[in-house]
Amino acid sequence: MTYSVLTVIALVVALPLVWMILGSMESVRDMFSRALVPANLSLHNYVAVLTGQPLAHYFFNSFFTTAIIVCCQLLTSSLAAYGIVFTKIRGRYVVFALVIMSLMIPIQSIFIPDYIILSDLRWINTYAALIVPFIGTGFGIFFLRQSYLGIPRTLVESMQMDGATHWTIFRRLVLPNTKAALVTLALLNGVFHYGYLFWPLLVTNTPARWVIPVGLSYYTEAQPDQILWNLLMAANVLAVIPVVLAFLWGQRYLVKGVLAYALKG
Amino acid sequence: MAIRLANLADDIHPLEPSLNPRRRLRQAGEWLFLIPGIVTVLAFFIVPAGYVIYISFFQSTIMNPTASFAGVGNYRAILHSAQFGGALVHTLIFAGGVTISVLVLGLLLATLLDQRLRAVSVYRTVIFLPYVFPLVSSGVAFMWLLQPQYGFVDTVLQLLGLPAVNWLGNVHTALLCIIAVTTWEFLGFYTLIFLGGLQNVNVHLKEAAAVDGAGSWTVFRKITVPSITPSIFFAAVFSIIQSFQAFDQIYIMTQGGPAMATQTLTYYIYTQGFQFFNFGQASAASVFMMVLLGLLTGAQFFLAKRWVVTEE
Repeated sequence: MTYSVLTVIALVVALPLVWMILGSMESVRDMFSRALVPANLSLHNYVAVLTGQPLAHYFFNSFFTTAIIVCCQLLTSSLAAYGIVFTKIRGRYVVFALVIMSLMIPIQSIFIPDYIILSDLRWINTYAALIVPFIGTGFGIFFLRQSYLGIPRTLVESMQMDGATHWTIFRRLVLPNTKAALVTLALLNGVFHYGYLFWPLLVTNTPARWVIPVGLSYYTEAQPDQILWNLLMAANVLAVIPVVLAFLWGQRYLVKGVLAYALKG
Repeated sequence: MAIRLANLADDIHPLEPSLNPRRRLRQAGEWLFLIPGIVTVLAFFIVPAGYVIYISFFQSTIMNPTASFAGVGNYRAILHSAQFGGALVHTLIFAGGVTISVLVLGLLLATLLDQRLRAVSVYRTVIFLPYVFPLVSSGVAFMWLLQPQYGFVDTVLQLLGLPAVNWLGNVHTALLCIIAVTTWEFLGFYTLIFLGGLQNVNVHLKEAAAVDGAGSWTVFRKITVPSITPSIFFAAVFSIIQSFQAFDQIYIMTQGGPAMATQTLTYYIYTQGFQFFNFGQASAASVFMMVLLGLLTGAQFFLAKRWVVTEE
């Protein structure tokens, strides 16, 4: 009983994926033939999409910006979370309150000032516009703080007794013991920024700076009856491969990290 | 997980006596930990939020967002606009629909996955996988699935002798489709959150109840659900915040159409700001959205006292 319910749900979840992969290997004529099982499958669409659009360049832009954003976020968040949890700075509670506040502010509601700042800096349509607004993340600070709270305070204090500086404690004790949380944060935010359309759509306006989601959205801006569905599906399959691989690689950290985050009350 | 604000004060020390110069220097060094993270959050989130409030009181032109002071004119304009009202209603339907779907389906799935099954990780992987997809990719995949006449759904409907539906082109079904794709995308994440909560459930309590003759539905209602109310609370708060921000899937699938049937607050702000360059009204709508979201979240925290069971 449990198995049959689970299998039905898993099949429903997998359906859009299967239909997308099938579509990516059909000709347009087969796609619009009302046959559930396609007659001919080929990889022709993949060749066409890779030679027809600067997809490789969009991939480069996506990987490049996502990698820098994630590295910066890991650095800024782990440092800030350490400062909030383990130092005795006056004002760290104010800082933490600001972090909580920023969690409540969706970027979709403050993009106008952000856009104005970037255009005053003459950064529109540059990599900086894609990267700089995201190098600090309230979610990251909050998330890592949760896992830092699990590190015994007595351990930190005894290291301090032995003369260790905060920098040493951070590198030798805190970072090595929160690897799962760091990988989880990198995956969650990496996947988010790789797939983020809204911001790149606003701040870029030439294909030279487009990332994968903007490139995909370009296909759907054609008239509905002129969308090249077979090419779009092939591009879409290529677009999800990197995140699927990243997920399969980091899955055990991710499950552990999210569960720990959820458990911590 | 409930964001427990009490944690804010969990280790407050009494203020230390005045600092000598050496300690002062060390404190300055400690600030280096906080500065990189907090400066960027301030510069791109907190300060802009203040600036949005400021702009919302001005009449804007394309070149100058604060051309002339307008008082509450922008707020009056949006509150009288049918388009804004529609966007508000769509946002509430969307957020409610997605949140109820992920809570109900997520709980069901987590309960099924929590049993000792073979191949449980395979199911978990499949169900979580959509979460890593770009929303644009999910949107495109659903557009293809829902193609009028030739998509999978319509093909099956026609095989069964039913009429085909133009799912995304129909004002009555378009928002439902956006809810469906969003649920598909995020279901795995919430299932995982609930799985985490279920690990907190006291197995002995469940067994004891079963020995006393309680049916599985009773055990679920009386023991399981109360034990995971913190997870349910977290999921509800998180899902509503996330739903208010939805943009990518709407942009790719319907562009707010047909006839604005899928225009949400975020999408309204986007069109006012970047298609009509009406920064003043877009900012007023932004402030409205932030306040509404703040009130909704606050109300959830307030109501949580009545139904969220905490152990302490």
